[in-house]
Amino acid sequence: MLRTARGDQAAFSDLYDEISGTVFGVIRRVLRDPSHSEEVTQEVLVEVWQQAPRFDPERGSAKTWILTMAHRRAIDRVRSVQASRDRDEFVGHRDRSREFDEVADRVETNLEHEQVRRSLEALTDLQREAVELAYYGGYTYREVAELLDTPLGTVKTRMRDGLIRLRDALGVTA
Amino acid sequence: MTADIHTMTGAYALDALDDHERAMFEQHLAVCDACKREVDEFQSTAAHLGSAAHEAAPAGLKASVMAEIDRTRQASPLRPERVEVQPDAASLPDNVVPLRRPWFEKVIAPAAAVLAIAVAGLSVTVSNLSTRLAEVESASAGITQVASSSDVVTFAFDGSAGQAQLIWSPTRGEGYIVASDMGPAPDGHVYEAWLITADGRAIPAGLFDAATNGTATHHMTGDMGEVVAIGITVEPEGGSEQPTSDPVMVTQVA
Repeated sequence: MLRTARGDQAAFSDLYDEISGTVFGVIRRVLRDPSHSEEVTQEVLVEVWQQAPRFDPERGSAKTWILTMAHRRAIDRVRSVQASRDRDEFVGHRDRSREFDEVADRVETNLEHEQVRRSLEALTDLQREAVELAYYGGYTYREVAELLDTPLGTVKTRMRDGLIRLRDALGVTA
Repeated sequence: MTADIHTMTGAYALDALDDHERAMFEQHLAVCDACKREVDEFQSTAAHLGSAAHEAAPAGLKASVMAEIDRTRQASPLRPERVEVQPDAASLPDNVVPLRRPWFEKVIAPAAAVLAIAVAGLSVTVSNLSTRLAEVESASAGITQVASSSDVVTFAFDGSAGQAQLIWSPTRGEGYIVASDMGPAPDGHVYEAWLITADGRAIPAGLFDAATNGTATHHMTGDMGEVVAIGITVEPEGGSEQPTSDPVMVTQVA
């Protein structure tokens, strides 16, 4: 990452090999559509290159920085697409309760996948659904509250409680 | 956005806030270390959720990305070095020292102590600020842009003329003064904003006036690198090259 930040294209090529699959996976989970996903993945990876000199290691790992950016861009795309499309139609074709399992056969099952699956299983149903619908489904907490027929404030706190438990289960420091 | 703002960390880290709430919460993050720490941890946690979704990227993508970065200039690191005030605001040459500048000195001297007070006051005013921002937002979409930049900082002005906040983004090199219950300037006068540098210079940063309902927004551009405070004075119509009166509002920024 440090070499990439200094404009080293060979270093960026290594970084690409390391991270592109995860970036694409995150974006594909949120956007579903493969060609949109590819387009946004490209935008994000170019942004990683462009913004690398501003990466601040004190705020977290390079991977976190990149995936945070990838998820944010995917969400931005979902929202701009939805603005011009009927939301109900978009929502209607989804399995709302099991966002994480839905593509389990498509993603490459790895150790991290197993660990995350087990940590998600350990949450309460509401915590798990709230976290999965937001992260993998790309829904706002208002939409999650509607989908789960649960008050806004409850959804907000379940997201936070869920992340606290995941954080502790996964041994995340920052 | 009221007392439970701290519980929004989870929704924020999952990108589940709408654009408006996200911008507001980022303002809060700029002043709340506990939330910032929690968000860092949650984003790290969310990255694990992301890693579990790993999937091979399309075969041709790497070639397109590599070709594009070859054409793409990297951003400069944060902390721009040059001081640049808006073009019409000429700064004084270094060898010109105004004879008397009592309030700048007052502003610069006890910087640390005053800053602590300003920051303490800020957490109280943030929730008010979001309401006020919402009011002026339609008139000034730019404020939202500044407020939603990743490095936004906010400061509360101290003073007799009402309540005001400074919202500033160092990377964008721009910010806004957003005031409420600030009376219009006296007849034949305007408010003038000043960037006060560490060596005691006052750089003009534009003229404005408050509306009859007491609200005012004022856009400023420039580099905050050398600026330690921002002051607002009442000046004769057309403005002054140097402050001619004590400030009605002032805030430390460094």
